[in-house]
Amino acid sequence: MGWSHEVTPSKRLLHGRNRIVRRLIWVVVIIAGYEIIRRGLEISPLALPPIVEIGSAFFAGFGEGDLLQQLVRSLILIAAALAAGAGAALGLALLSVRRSFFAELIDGLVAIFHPLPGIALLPIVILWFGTGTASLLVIIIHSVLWPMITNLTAGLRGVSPTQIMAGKNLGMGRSELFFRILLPASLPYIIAGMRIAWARSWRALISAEMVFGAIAGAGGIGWYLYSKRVFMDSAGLFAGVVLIILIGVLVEDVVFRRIQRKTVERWGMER
Amino acid sequence: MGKQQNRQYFFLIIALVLIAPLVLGFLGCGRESDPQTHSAGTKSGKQPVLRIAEQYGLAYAPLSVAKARGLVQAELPGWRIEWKQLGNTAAIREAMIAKDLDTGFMGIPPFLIGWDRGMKWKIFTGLSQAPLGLVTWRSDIRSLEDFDRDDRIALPQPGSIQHILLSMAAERSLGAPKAFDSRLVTLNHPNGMQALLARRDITAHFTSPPYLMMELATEDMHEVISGQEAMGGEFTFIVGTVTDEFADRNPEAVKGLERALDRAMTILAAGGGRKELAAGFNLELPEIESYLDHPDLVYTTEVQGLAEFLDFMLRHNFIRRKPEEKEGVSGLLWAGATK
Amino acid sequence: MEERIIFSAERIVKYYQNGETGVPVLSNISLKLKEREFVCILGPSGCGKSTLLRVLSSLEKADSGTIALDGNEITGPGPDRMLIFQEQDQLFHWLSTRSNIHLALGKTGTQSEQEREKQTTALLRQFGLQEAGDKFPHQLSGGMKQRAAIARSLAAGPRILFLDEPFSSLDAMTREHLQIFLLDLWKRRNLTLLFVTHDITEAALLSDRIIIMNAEGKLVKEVENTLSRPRDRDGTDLHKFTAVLRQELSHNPGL
Repeated sequence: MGWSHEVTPSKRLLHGRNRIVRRLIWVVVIIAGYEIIRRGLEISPLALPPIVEIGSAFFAGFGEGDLLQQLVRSLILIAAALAAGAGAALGLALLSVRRSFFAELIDGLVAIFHPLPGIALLPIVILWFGTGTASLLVIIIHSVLWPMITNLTAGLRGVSPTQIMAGKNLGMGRSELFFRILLPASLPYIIAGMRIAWARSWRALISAEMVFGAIAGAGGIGWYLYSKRVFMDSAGLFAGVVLIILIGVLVEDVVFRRIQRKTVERWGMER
Repeated sequence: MGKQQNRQYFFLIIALVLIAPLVLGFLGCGRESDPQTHSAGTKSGKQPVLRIAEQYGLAYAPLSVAKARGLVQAELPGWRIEWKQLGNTAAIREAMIAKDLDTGFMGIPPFLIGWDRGMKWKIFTGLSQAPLGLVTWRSDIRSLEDFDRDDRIALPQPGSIQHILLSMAAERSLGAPKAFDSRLVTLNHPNGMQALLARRDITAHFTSPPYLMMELATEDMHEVISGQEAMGGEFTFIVGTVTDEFADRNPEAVKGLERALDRAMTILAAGGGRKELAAGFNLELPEIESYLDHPDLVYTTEVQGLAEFLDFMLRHNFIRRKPEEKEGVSGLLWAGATK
Repeated sequence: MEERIIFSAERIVKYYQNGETGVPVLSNISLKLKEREFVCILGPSGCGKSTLLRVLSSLEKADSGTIALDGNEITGPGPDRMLIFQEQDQLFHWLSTRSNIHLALGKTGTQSEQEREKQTTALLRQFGLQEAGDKFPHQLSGGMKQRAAIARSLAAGPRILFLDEPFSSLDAMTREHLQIFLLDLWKRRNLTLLFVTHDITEAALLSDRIIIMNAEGKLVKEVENTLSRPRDRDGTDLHKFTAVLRQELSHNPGL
């Protein structure tokens, strides 16, 4: 009973099998549209490769392990950088919220670096860190850190003072207050920050990989795209792009939506 | 049930509304890039246009001089000459596929890859022969055999002339053309040079002028193998390519471009055009001159090494398409070329 | 009733900084609470009643003055004095009602997990929150939220409960229910309560003693509430007493 009145028709539409079916219909529509346009226009198959070739390049990429291997490499890098970036952002955000002395410095750093694209830093990063994984991590962390700080600071500042007092009243110490009150209370902001961070880091990583190239053949999904490009394997190129889209949708849907539904929405904290 | 059906119709309508502009967009694109409105102006009565990809670098010097002195325009009165700047060889190829570009300049291997993949284009001229080389700072490395498992070699991209030359050298000295493929680091020339000079994770860099000269002018740097040694002979570094579509319709324009480049090469050979180059590259005159005076940097319309590259790339599956039996490699050259 | 003093505050002074000069919010406040006493502080909105309760529970620092529990001076906050806030967001909205209560129980510490679960269930039942145990705060009505907040505070095992206009944002019916509920709870559990309100009837209905606070943050008058319990909200005795209180309040400027 308690739940049933919460599930409005629009929510039911968004969740469950209905949505998957509708999505599949869309995919079919888009694929069919693509193929019709391609055939109708007599465009070079290098510009618009047949869907069958894209499909077989996609599965071949998984079968031969190259695409999968590059993808795994990229995702591991992202996960590591997201964790490091989120940790650093949390520390800096806390510092900024707790000590107004640092707040100005951190706000300043965010104002300077937030709008700076990671790729613009590439030449400097190469000089400092070389061309290895370290540089990639630096570029991804850069793309993650600043939006995370912005969001976390807003989240921590937005925690209800009543709840903080209630926590203190219960005798919570500093760390308990942080983990039991501040962190869960700012979760909507943390999730929002993670979403931005993920989107940004995914983009930063792929573009960095495309510039960076491969080390010992391992260059991630961006490198996969780039190598398909230089060898003019258009079907492979499209397959890579399709994979990037799929990953984007999957992370958004499976990871973030699920976390959102299990926490923020369940707690009635939707912003 | 009725509601459910209504909803489905709704989504169908939305789908059509969304797809329609996509279709129209594509149609629009197709029409816009129709060659008739752009390049084959002789038929439509509009001013005809020749679109050239402009590139920087010493190997492209005849192009730079031709542009700076208006030589192409002088050969093609009545034509509008459009110089386009594109990031790299791949972008040039893509622009030619998109019918956004009529002619572009690049190494022979990238041309062959495009031809293999079904691009309809030809080489209409050579542009330059240039010294290429594999440079290292490690005094213990004197030949390819001296590289360790952990030594990384930087070069522009797989399938580039540097990559093919390294593979050729590896076949020659180690008997294994892909010996270094797992030790390659892909970096463009400036980044590659920076990485080499940092002497950290890059052991050697396969590069071309002027980066080759700059690197070799640095302390401790030396050349492990030159491009000529790798190839086992002379070869053309940069060739001029043209789409069949353009060349078939406008053979006179291609010939005019060829003549303009020829004139630029004559000027360069006589020691002219150096001020323009210095200004264009933002370098001091003496520096440009020292590079231009390198004995291996030769500007000529002759195309050398095409058969060797083709043979090697076919043998090692970089490409699969074979030229027509009766034509041989000459089928890859534009028939209208004067040389 | 025992006459033992369990809580006392001595000469509490607090200023709020307003430009160069400080504005007094609490001017030299002293008060004592006897064990099992129900005391109401009655005063106009914005007179510093909430500040007083936060100072008494050490959630805010006073500029001077001391507080003592069982004769021992205390300086930091702790579950010995629990404060029920007026705000309805005092429950942790990421925890179910049950977990909110359970969290507070954890603080007192020595029982086994099983025992704590049992105690939580008992509290939920006592507070009529059996159905609400697995719900999250946003799914509770205003009255349920305040009941849950009181339950959580009691779970922490306080010596005294401070209540800061806990029922003021509820509708009239719910408020009356909760007033009766609180009285019942007070009697059954032998609680010591300090209850802040601006509602004269509420003060008259609930308290043993009423302290009147004026707009300058001074305690100006103490009135013993000798009405016999149980009290009738609509009875003439209560009406007479509220009239007296109203009289008292009207003597004081700013009310």
